[in-house]
Amino acid sequence: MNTSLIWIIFPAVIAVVCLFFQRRETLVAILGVFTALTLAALAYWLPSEELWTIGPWNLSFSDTWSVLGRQFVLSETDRPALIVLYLAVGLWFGAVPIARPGQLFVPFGLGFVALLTAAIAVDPFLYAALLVEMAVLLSIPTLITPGSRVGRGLLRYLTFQTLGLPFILFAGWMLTGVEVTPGDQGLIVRAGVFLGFGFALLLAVFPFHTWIPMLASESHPYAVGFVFLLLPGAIGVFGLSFLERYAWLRDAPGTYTLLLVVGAVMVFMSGLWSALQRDLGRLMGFGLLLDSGFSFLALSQTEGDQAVTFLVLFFAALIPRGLSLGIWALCLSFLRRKVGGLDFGAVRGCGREHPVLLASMAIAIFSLAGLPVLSSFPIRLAILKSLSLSYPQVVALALVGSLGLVTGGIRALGEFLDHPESRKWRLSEPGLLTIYLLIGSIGLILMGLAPQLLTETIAGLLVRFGGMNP
Amino acid sequence: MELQFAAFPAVAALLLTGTLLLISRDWRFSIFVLALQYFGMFILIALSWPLELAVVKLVAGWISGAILGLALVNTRDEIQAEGDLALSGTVFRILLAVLAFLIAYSIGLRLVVWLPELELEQAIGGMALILLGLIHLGLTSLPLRVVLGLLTVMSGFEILYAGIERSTLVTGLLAFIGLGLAFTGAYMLIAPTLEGAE
Repeated sequence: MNTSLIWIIFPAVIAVVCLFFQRRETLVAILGVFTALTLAALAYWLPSEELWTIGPWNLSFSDTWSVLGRQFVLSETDRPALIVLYLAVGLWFGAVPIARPGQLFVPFGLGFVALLTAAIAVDPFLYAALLVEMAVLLSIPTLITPGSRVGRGLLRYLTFQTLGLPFILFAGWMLTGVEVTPGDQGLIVRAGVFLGFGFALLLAVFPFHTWIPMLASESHPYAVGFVFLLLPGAIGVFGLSFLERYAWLRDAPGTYTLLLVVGAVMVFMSGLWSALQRDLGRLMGFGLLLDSGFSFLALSQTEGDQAVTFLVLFFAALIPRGLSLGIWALCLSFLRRKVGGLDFGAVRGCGREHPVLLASMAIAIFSLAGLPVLSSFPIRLAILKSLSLSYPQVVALALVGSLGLVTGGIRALGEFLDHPESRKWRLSEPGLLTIYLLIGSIGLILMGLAPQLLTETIAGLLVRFGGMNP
Repeated sequence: MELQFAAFPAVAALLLTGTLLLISRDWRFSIFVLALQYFGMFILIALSWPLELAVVKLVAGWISGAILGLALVNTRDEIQAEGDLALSGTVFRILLAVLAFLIAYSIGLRLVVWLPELELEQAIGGMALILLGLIHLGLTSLPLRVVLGLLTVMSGFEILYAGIERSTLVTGLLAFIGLGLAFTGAYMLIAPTLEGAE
């Protein structure tokens, strides 16, 4: 028995089982939720002793699984990531009966998560690029609406993610060479350029970001939100492995400057574009890009004494992002089905008939923008406070970007409340949707009011599983 | 190394097939050309790898072509329709292919210095396929064409990567990715004909 069988093979097997029952969507959703939450619970409670004694039987348990000379290792230090990953998936699958993203969403979504887990586990970690690409391929069917033509955003998503793979694999090979001959400046530059291009393509860094708003506009918002939440998170962990593995990369000041510049450009540009959007799906895409930009800014501060603090903030930011994105995507899924589109013209006046949806979406948008009292604010404040000492101009760009998303959000809400004479105020959201939205919105406000709950939980998990010293 | 004598013809075949993929409008012909391209790729990979391992690439590539072909057979004609290419468009694409070859030759000469494990034919052939695939991707927004472009880029990359990596797991995963691209392409082709689920 080993950990990879539990967190990689088991969900993959369940995904195949779900595929056979895909027409029974509610049953498949329940199975998906149960599987994901069980795996999250196991990641928290399962002891890691090498030998288990169950009654008269002795069961040996390993955290390593060898395949064709390579290993998949899910040790104690990976448990926080597994808990957050499978908890997020469980909650996401829970709203599938309301969002109705399609029959293939849960089976392929579960397979997608299993492959991302394998990407976190594989050793040498470079092979994670191959597994991430396989996960991307598996996500494609969930992003296609049966009966309609494939959009350009999806084709760009597939293209950019696939083109990122060769860059990462070549960079990995070059980095091994740098370890052997550390003085070879030419090799270092080439490796850095390849690595930079690879991650820029994978993480939709400007100017390779165009597929995100396009995809958010043309595919089902709930499936898009799921991919947007998990893929950058897994690629981010993969990127951190490079920093952890190669000391020269970690110690090079240029690395952090690059992260800072990339983060500042992403926040500023996506904020500006957010303010100009006339489609709620595209606005969600730019909201995610803005949040990704802040993740880069958090990573740029992981140099020196404050490394651990900002690493905790980097991981802690995934939770408010997931919750905001979940609420936003759920609202858009309902609206898309109700009015047939997500452009401002289609949703005009809907807010009067769906006030809970209106309020929840406002909270989700403003939370991603980092407004006070909402979940992302404390994390953003910590990042900007640290940056203000040495890079006040970056802080100014980040604030302008955040203001752009706020402007985009206010414009969207304005359209929602338009046409006062033709539509009366009334509650017409389904009960389950209302409950989900209320719980999520209260969660976003609570995390904003008591941020220590979030950071202490993440830090506690890292300490408990040995990922960080207290 | 047994196939050294076939290395230069393989490079020529890759250049020809890459160019034909750019200008071809008939999906049957495109799939046939893709199969030939995988044969050229197999020869160049066999310069670095044992024949029995290199043949995995050939088989996986041919299966990819078969998957795309089967999907296309089962789709409506209007989904497959690409429209004829004007003479000026054909000439433009051929000129782009010539330019790609010149760049690939130029980069290939430097690549063998950076990567001494590579043969010159592998460097030129691999780079030519990558550039032709990128040109293909830049000129289209049709699912079949995008998948053909991506398979071409990945073939070029696999030729170059074969010189530096011989792991069985990587071979298997790259073969899976090639097949996955073909399955994804097939699903994208048949998706418009599926019954709407929403």
